[in-house]
Amino acid sequence: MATNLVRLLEGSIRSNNAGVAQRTLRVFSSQQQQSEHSAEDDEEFRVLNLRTVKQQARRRVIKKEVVPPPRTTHMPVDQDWTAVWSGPRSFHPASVPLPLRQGYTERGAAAPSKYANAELMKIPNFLHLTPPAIRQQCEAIKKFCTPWPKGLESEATWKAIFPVEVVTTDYCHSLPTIRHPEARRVTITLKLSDLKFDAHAKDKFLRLVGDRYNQETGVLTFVADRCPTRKQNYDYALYLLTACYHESFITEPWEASKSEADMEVYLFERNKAKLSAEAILNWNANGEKQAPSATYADSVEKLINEGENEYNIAKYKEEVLKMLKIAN
Amino acid sequence: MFRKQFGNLSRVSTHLSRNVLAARVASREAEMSTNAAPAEAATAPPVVNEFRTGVGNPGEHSDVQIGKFYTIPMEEKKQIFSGGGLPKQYEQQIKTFTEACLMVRSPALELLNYIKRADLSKPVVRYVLYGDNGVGKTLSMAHVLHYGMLNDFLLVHVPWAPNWMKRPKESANSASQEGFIDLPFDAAAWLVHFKTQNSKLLERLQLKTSKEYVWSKRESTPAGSSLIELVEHGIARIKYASETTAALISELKQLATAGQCKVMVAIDGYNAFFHPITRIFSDNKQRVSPDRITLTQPFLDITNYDWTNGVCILSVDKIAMTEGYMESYLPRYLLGKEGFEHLDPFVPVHVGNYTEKEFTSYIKYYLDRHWISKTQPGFEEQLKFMSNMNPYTLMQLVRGL
Amino acid sequence: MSLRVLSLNLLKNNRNFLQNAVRNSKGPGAQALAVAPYATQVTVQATPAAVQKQKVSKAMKAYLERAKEHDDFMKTQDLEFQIGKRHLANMMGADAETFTQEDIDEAIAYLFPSGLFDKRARPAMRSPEEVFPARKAAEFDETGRPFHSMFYTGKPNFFQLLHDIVEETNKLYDLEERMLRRGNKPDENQKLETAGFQLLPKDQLERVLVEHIADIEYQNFTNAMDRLISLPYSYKSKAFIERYLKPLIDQSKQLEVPKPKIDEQGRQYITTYECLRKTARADVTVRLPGTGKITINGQDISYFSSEECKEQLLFPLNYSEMLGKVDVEANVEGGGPSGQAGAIRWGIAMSLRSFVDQEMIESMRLAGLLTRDYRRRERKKYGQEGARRKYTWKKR
Repeated sequence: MATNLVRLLEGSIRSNNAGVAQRTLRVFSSQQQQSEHSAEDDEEFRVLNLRTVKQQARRRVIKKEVVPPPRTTHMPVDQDWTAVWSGPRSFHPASVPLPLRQGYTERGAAAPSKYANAELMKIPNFLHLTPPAIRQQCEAIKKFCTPWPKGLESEATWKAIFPVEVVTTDYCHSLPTIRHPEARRVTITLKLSDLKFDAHAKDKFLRLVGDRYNQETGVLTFVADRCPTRKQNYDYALYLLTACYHESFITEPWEASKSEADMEVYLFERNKAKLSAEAILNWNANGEKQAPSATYADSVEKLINEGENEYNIAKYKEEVLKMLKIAN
Repeated sequence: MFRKQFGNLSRVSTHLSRNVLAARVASREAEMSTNAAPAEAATAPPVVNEFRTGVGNPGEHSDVQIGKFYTIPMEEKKQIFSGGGLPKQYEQQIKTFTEACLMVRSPALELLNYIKRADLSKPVVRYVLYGDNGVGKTLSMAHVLHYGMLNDFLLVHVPWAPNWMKRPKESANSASQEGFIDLPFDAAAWLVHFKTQNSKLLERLQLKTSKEYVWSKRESTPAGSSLIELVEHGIARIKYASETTAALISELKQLATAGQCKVMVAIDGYNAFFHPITRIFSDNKQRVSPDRITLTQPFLDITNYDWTNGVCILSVDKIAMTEGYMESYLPRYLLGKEGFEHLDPFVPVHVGNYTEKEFTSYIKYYLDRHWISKTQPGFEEQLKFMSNMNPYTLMQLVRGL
Repeated sequence: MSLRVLSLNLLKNNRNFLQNAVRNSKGPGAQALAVAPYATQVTVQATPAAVQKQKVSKAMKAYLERAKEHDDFMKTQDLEFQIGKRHLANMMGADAETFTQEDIDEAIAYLFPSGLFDKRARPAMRSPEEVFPARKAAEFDETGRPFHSMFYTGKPNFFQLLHDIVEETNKLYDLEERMLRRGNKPDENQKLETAGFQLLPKDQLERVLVEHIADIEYQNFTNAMDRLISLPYSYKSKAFIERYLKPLIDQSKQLEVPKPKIDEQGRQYITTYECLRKTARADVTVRLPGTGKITINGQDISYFSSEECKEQLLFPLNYSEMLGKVDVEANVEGGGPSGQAGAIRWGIAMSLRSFVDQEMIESMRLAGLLTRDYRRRERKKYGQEGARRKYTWKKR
C-alpha cells in the first residue's frame, strides 16, 4: 500500500509540476491571456491606446532554458540509498530527496530551502555513512578478518605478552598523491615497569631518555619521524629503545665522579646528616663507634625525597628524639 | 525586621572594636590606680581562677596549667625582654593590661619537658619551632626564655634575626675579614641586650676569657679578663662590636663545654641566616648574601652541635623570608638545603592555633581585662570562626581602632 | 467560524489532484489517511465561502487567486515532506510508518552535523505547517464587504481585544455600583491572585492575534489589562483575564529546594555548583552534622586575609544560626577576594536552604542572601578617567 501511495504522490507532484509549467507558459504568452480575460471579464476598464499597435514597443521575450525537474522526483522511496550516495560528497539538493531547510531568519519567515543554499554545502554530511551503509560495508570486509588469537582474550593477557604499543596513522584524503608527511611518524610506548633494571641502570636509563618518560603515568614514549619511510622510523624507534636499555647497564669510568649535586635522590649515607648524627652519638666516646639507626636514616631520606608534610615531620621528630634519648 | 537583624549582625565586629575605646579608658583608670598603690600590687598574691594559675615558675608548669595565664613579674620581664623578644602588639597589650601575662601552651611545655630531660653533657640539642603566621612561636620562645633565666642559663637571645638582614642601622666593611660586612650598631645593640639579660648571672659566675684579643695596635683585651669587660668594650667601641660578639660567643662555647656555665641560645627568625640575599649592599652596589655578614658566623657557630652544656631554641618563620620564598611554613623548606644540613638532627616543634580550651580561656582573659565589654549572645562563636582560633588574628579582631 | 467555512470550501472549490488521488486509490483506508492531514492543515488559510455566479469584486478575485496558490503550495510542500520522511526512514534503515518527528530530528542531526551555535540556524526537516507561519484568512466576503466592523483599522483583532477589555471593565464598573447600592462588598477570598503571573509578552500576543502590533499599542493593551485586573470585582471576569496571563516559571523553579544527599560517612550534604559573583566562580559543599570547619581551596578561612571577606563568608551561617553546625567546603577560582567571598557566600546560602525550615528560607530570601548579585565591573569610557569619573576640569 505504501508503494501505491508513493506512486500516487509522485503522480500528483508531476501533475503539479506540469501545472506550474503551464502557468508560467500562460504568463509568458501575455496576449493570449489578455484575450481570455477580456472574454471572461466584461467589466474590465478599457485602455486608451493613443499609439497604434505598430508603435508599441515590442517587449523582448527572454528565453529561459527549460530546467528538468530534480532527479529526486524520480526516486522511489524504497531505493537503495547506498547506491545513490556511495561515497563522501558535498551536499547536492537535486540528489538528496529530503525537503531540508537551513538558515536563521527573522520571525515570521521560513528558513531558506535546500536549493542554492550554500550553508548546507558548507557543513559536512554523513549521507554516505548511514547505518545501512555501515552495516553493508562491514559485511563486505568481514571476509578479510581473521579470528582473534586464542589465549589473548583480555587486555591484561595480551599486554603482558606484547608490552610495546606501536601507533602509526594512515591518512585518507583526496589529493593527487596518496602520501602524507605525517604517515611516516611512528610512536612506540611501553611501561617502564615492563623493563628490568638495577638501581644504577634505572637512573642512567631515565637520564638517557629524558622527557620521553612520563613520571606520572610511568609510560615511555619514543616518537620517530626523521626517516622518509615508516619502516625506517619503526626500526629506528626500536633501535633507540634497545640502545638506551643496554647502554644504561654500562658503567663508564667517569661515573664514579658523580657529586652530591648530580644525585637524583637524597641518600643518607652520602650526606652530612650521617656525619652529624655519628658525631653526636659518639661524643666523647673512645670505644666502639655507634651508628645512627636505620629508621632514623629512613626518616631523613623520606623527609627530603618525598617532600615535607606533617606526617614526615612527625616521623622525623620521633626518630630524632629517640636517637638523642630525650623521648619519653 | 530583617534589616534590623541584618544590621546588628554585620556590625558585631565593629562593636567589638569600638568597645575598645571604652576598654582603654577603663584600663587607663586601672593603671592609674595601680600606680597609686604599687606596693600593694606587688605584694598581693597572684589571683587564681579558672584562666589564671598561681604558678609563676615555668619550671613547675605541667599539663594541669595548659590554657591558663601566668604572670611574669615586671622586673624579670624588664630584664629579659627590654631589648625585644615580645611582639610589638603584645608589648602594647601588656602595657594596656598592666601585667605581663603569658598563656601556658603545649609547645612551650613540650620544649621545657625536653630541656629538663635532656642530658647536658651531650652535644647541644637544637629545637626548631615552626608554625603558620601568628600562632605564637615567639611567645612560646619567651616562655622558655623565662625558664632559662630562672634556671641560671646564660641567655644568647636574638629577638628577630631578619632585622639584621632587612633593616640594619648601619653597615660598614669589616676591618678584620676581607669582603665581609660589619653591622656595628646592631652588634652593639645585641651586646647591650646580652648584658641586660645576663649581667647578674655573669657577676655571680665570674667567667674569664681564655685568650688575649687584640683589636688594634693599642687596644686589646688580655686573657683572664671577665666577660663583662669584654662586652663593655664592645659596647664602648662600636667599631669592634661585631668582632667582640664573635669573641664572646666563642668564649661562651668554650666555657660551657668546660662546664663553667649553662647557655641557652634562642634565635627568632633563624632561617634569615640562610636566605639567599639580604638588603645590604656591598661596595660594588651588589646585594650581599647573609654569610658575608660578620654577625652571621658566630650565631651559626653556636647553633652547631660541637659543644655541650647548652640548649638551642630556634624558630623558623615565613615572614623572615621575602617574597617568593614564603610558600610553606615547614622547616625544611624555610631553612633550605644548607640550613637543614647545618641543623640536622634537630627536634621540630609544631606550634598551632589555639585549642578550644585555650580560646575560651583567652576570651575570658579579655573579658576580665574589660578589653571586650559589650557582649551580644554568640559573640564568642563569631570571634572563633572569624579568627579560626589563630592567636594573632584574634588579637587583631579585638584590637583598638 | 472561519475554520468550518474553510474546510467546507476546500472540498467544494478545489477539486484537485487530492480528490483525484482518493478516487484512484481503491481503498477507503487510503482516503482516511490522505484526507486527515489536509482537514487539519487548512485551519487559517483558504478561500472564503463558495464563489457564486454573482458579481465578484476585483479584490476578491485577486485574493481568491492568491489563496488558491497558497493552498496548492502548502499541499505540495506537505507531499514533499511526506515523501522526504519516507526517504529519510529508508536511508536510516528504519520503518517509515513509525518514523516520528523526533526520529527525523535525530537523523538530520546525524547526517548533517552542524556546529552552529543557534539551534534555529541548523539544518532541519519539519512539517510545512511549522515552517510556514500562519496567515490570516479572508476578512471579507465575495462582494468585498469586510466581515469585521473594525476591518479598516488595519488591525481588527487587536482593536477588538481592546474593545473587549473595555467592555469587561465597564461591566465590572456597573457591577460595583450595583453592589455598592446594595451595600455589598467584594469577596476578599475570591480576589484574583496574579502573583507569579505576567501578561502575555508582545511576541506571544502577536501570535495569538495574527497581527503585528506596535510597542505603543502593546503598552495600551497592558495598561487596559492592568486597569481591569486592579478592579475590586476583577475575579468576576477571571476567565477572560486568564486568557492573557502567563505563569512565571523561573520563580517557582527557584523555590524548589534540593534534597540533601548522603556521603560515605553518613552525613547529609548539598553541593551547589556555579556560584558566581563578579568574575569569581565557586562550588560549595555543605555537610550537615559538622563542627563548623571551613575549607576554601584546601585552606581554612585564613584564605581570605581581609575581615570583610571573612564576615561575608560567615554571614549566611550566622544568619541561619548554623554556625558550628555544618562543615563547608568550597572550591573557588577567578576574580578577586571580595568576588570570591561573595560567590562562596551565595553558595553557602543556597546550600543551607536544604537544612533550614521554610520560614528561615523566606527570611534569608528577604535578607537578599539567595539573590544572585549580577553587578559587574563597568567599563572605562574614552574621554573619561574611569567608568563615570571625568578628568579634572581646569579652566586654563
